Amino acid sequence: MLLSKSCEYGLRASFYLATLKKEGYVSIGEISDKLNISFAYLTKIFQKLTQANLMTSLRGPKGGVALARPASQITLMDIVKAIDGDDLFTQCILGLPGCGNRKPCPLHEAWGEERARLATIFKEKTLQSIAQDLEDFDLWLVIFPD
Amino acid sequence: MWSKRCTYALRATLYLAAQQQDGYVPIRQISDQLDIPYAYLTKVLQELIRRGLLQSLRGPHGGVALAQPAHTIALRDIIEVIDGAGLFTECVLGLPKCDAAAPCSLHNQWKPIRHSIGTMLSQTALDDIADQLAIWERKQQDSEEGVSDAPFFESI
Repeated sequence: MLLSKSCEYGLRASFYLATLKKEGYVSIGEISDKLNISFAYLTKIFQKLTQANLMTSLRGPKGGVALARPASQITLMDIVKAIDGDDLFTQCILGLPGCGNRKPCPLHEAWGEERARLATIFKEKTLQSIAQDLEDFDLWLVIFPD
Repeated sequence: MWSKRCTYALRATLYLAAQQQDGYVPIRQISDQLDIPYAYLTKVLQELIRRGLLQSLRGPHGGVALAQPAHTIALRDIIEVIDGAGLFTECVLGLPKCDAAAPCSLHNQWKPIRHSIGTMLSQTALDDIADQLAIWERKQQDSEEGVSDAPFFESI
């Protein structure tokens, strides 16, 4: 809810790639099946991640997507900015167009502090550390429909 | 962080809270002042009416008005009606299986932040914001050089 649905899916797909032990490209079809996210939607999300140089893609029968660098070098902040932009970390909590440091809305300062704490976490955590949690806690990336 | 609908709902209700006189405000006026498409705004406001936060009146003097005094409507009330309570309850990464027993690595750091944000939005009423914004608007009108930023309510 803090992040858009596209961003949540982008993170989930990135986590999935980070948990795979094998090298090489993974087809978007496979990710779509495993995570139960529509293929077309996922393709659009991966376009953004590729444009931001976080993923590489390869066309053809052996093609697909892959992390562009080791999972330990991609932070959650990288993914969030590629998909949602940096509004979350720069904008007024109420979305008021005129709010800023010179004319702060009453929540400006308190939100600024929480936002900074949040940004720190997103910059610290990498795909690698999340992938580790997913294994340790068996945190499935998907709820399979009954 | 909120949906666009939610941001519009917040801006529209803050605009209503900032009105000096009682009575109904035409949706057209809110739409013009805040530069929000009329049809879109109407749908958002209908949801607030349906959930009892606004009341409406048809006819030439009609429009919408806050259903309760502005100091009794918390920002969180508006947010939860439009976007739901997910932000205050769910995993920050949206992982379906994350919870206290099997936490993701952000879980324990996110919880206090989520709590602070929730408290902030529960304890702040529409008039807390509207009053402060009105002060800024007046200062801007009074000062000769003016502050060049956009007015609060209206779109840039």
